[in-house]
Amino acid sequence: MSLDITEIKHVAALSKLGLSATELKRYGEQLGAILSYIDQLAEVDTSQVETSTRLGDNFNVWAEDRAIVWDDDGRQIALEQAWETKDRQIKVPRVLE
Amino acid sequence: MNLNQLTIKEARALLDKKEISAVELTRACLARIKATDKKIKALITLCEKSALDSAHEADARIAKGEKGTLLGIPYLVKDIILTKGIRTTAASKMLENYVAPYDATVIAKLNSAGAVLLGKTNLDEFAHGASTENSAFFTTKNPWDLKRVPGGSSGGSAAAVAADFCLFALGSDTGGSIRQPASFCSVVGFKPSYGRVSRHGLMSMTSSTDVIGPMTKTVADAAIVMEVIAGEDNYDSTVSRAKVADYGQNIAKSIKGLKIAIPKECLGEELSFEVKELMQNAILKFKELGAQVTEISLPHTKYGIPVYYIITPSEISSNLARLDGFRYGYHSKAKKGETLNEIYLNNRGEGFGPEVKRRIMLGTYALSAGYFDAYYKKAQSVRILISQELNSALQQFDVIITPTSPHVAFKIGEQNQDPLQMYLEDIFVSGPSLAGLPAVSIPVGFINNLPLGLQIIGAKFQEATVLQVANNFENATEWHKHKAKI
Repeated sequence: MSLDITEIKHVAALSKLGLSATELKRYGEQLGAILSYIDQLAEVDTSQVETSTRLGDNFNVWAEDRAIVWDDDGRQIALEQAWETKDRQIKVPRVLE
Repeated sequence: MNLNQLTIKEARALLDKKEISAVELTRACLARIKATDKKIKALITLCEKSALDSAHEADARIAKGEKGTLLGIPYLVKDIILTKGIRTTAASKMLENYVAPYDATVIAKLNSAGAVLLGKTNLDEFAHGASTENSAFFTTKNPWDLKRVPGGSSGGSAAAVAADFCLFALGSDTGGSIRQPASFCSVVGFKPSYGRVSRHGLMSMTSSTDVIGPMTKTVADAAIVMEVIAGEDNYDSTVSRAKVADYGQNIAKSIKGLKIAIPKECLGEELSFEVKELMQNAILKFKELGAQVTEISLPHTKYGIPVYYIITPSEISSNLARLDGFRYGYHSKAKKGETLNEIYLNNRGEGFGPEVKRRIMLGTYALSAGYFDAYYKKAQSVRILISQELNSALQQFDVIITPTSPHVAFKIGEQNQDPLQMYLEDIFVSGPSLAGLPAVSIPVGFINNLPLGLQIIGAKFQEATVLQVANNFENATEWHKHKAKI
């Protein structure tokens, strides 16, 4: 089984991955093979499984809602990672056209 | 013996008696790395200057009379754990020049304990793999045979400990990434229970199974590191608030009367005669030590891999969505003026390697409309069955044992063309990850001069029992004393 070209293109678009035609073909085949292997899960009877079951104990960690001033070197390192900055802020392209 | 070959426990005694200094110990590790890492390629970044600074600081603290199990002890860290001011790459082109603005909680804890950070180790890109062949930079070699992989994804850390580059290393384990390389390199690899060690500052892969743990030369050393890195953390809501046990306290206590289970599914026909023989020898050894060994059945074990390879890619697809190349990370050279979407496509398409792309797409597919019930929901349901099966066995038995991996280290390039073949590496290690249980891999013997590990799995938060069983086995055998000739 291989994912057809329309399917793999759709998945690549949802994944925000720019892929070449060769890559699309190869990943389509590989994902198909992996999914065929995973299909064996269908044979497991899960009708009695309570899917709301939690694995582990979860609890809320509460914290006071306050701004913590970041030390200068940490802030500096963070800003240096950005592609483009302006006035100590990270500049990104328009989101709304 | 060279100082870099010491265990933590041995070095501690010498440091406390002032027979050696932290600086001498650190220099010995640095010298070993410089002389040997050309062959092994375990390190991505070496921090010589800052390591010596930390060692001097540790010596000053020792001189003032300060006591601490890891004070002045040199270690290495898998390059997916954030270290402030030091590059953290995840072995990805995407983060090749990324420098973290803060330390992971485990690093902060080790810093305050006075441990000496030597550098960062290689891994499969974003920890996706079982051989380090998925590193965007280079493949680490197995110290036991340079033509073979060290396992993965914490392969750099495992190889570094096996080659005595450090006294201990940190790895991360999502579905076997500490235990399998420990098996391939003949070191101790300890995966704590999910939630026992803070994940803050560990780049997220599968948030529901990721955990940081120690890779050491002995079981006692793993207990020492665990006592420092485990425990509550306000930066990670999934960390347990339960008190951290004194893991060293009962480690030497006899295992007479302890109940050990071995799943018959782990001794099946597909396993080689040699692996079965090592397992039979281990069973005999446990019986000699007074434990009761019983064969059990865990029929859902075989579904661990298909479940893991739905859950994991699903969580990866969402965790790696943050990498867009704007705030940090790889930015495509493609010209400006494109749409935002095109920039995302270029940054991510060029920045990620093949296995990362496969997993992002597999996860996106499994979570997409029309497939969610058939894949993700089904996998979560089977995960619950696997978890219940393991938990119920661990109500009757103290620990479960299996081989860590179905075979010894494979050759570089032997199975990296077939992603599915590589996934099958996780057969014995994925179950405890899916169920969040503590498990260790310790040396159990050799097949044609290549090491194999024994996995010991315990009930949730029963790390002390796992370490006790492992320590008893280690003391009764000589396997951990064998060193790779490199």
